[in-house]
Amino acid sequence: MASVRLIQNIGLGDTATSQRTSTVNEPTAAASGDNIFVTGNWFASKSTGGGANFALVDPFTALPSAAGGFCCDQIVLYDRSRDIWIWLLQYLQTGGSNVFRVAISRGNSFGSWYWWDFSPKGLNPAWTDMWFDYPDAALSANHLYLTFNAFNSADRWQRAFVFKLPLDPLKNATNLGYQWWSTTAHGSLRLTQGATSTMFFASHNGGTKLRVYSWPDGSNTLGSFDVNVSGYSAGPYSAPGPGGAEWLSRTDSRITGGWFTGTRAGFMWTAGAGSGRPFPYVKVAVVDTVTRSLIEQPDIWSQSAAFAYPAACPNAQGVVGVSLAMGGGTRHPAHVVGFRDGNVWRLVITRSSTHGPPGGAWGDYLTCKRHQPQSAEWVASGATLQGGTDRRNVEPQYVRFGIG
Amino acid sequence: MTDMKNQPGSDDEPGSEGANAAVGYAGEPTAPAETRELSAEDEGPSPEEFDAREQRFTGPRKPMGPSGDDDVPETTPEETDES
Repeated sequence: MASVRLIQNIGLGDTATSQRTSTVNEPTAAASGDNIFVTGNWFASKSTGGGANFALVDPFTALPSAAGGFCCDQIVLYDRSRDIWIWLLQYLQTGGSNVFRVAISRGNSFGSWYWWDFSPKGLNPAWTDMWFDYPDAALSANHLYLTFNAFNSADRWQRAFVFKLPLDPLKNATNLGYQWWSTTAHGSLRLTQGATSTMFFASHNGGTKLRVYSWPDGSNTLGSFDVNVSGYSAGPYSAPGPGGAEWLSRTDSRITGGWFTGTRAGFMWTAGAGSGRPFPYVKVAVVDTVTRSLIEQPDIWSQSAAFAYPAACPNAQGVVGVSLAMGGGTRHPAHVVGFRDGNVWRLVITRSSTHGPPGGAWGDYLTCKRHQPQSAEWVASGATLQGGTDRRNVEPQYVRFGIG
Repeated sequence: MTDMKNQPGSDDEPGSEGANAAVGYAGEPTAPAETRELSAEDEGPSPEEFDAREQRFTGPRKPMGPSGDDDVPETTPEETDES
């Protein structure tokens, strides 16, 4: 029987984060050989020694400020095909608008960044009261895809965006032409990790429908189709741990994980407790993108605790790895990684919190990426509370894992 | 700020016919900069400012899309002279 092999399992302490941590930590991680970059609210941290030491890279001051100053919601990716690091940073709105920044560092000069900033007003001068939030990022063979929600200054949802940036000018630091599309019909668009010649992404489409979008690398035309999934509860979400400490007060049903392998796209989100599911769990839908049909729904669930905030990525062999949170019952929030082995999920807890969050807040996203160059392995990010309930007690977790 | 220029695309859902993306131009990147690695003593927001952020960040989550009650606009009654 295959098992999860934890190759590295590192909690980032105060040296790595300078206690600039939040319980809504949103950690992300990427690795290329001995170089590792980890981001979260509100820090970034870099290792050039394979994780032996991490040094703080302050997202507030490491790069010049923009808009209302650095906010949050970072993502880091490593693209092996061009040997570039991609660091996505979101800035605070000021006067109703903000920017996101796409910063690039070449592999041979890891830590030296150049960047492009993008604002809603730059896309449409009429969008003066609109700001980007809640990013996702994924690679295809030749493009970097990004998604955002956009809100107005009253925090009302306005539209969702998808950006398609070619990797060559990102690597070469030349003029950047790109494509983008937005919709007012669907939000929180989630990209698939592992895409090749076409990026697939999805959103809920009311009730039990998923809208799956496709965007070929070589085209500026998007397509879409809908599939029906089985019923699930979109909340309320609750899974109190020891002492009644809630950790799902911010949870909703948005899709947080997506992957693509072969002809299949998979999507994952957190569903509320329901029939046969005594705790909130991870709802999974696997779709065949050729026949446009639902293939399977291999939920991740437990009789004794909740699963939430899933992220997913296939390794080079097409095996789907996951990174998610688990908690409730006798357990404070824990970080879990694993992979799909035939018809079952093999999971292992990387670290458990010693306390629950004081206000019930956790999330809002984790990541799972392919390790480079060991592409049969994965790199996952998580977070736990260690020794207290304060935000300073949050320790992001960097995990490299494989199949044992 | 990057100089951005755009050609509009379709705002419609693609459906079976497809939808065209817009094309944008972001120019060349901002000049490279060496990222500083910082120690805990370097400048940045103060711990108290991070605490204030924590309060803001741990509140209710913003909507995930267009559906839901929170998309109904707020209704504020007009004030009348009640004197």
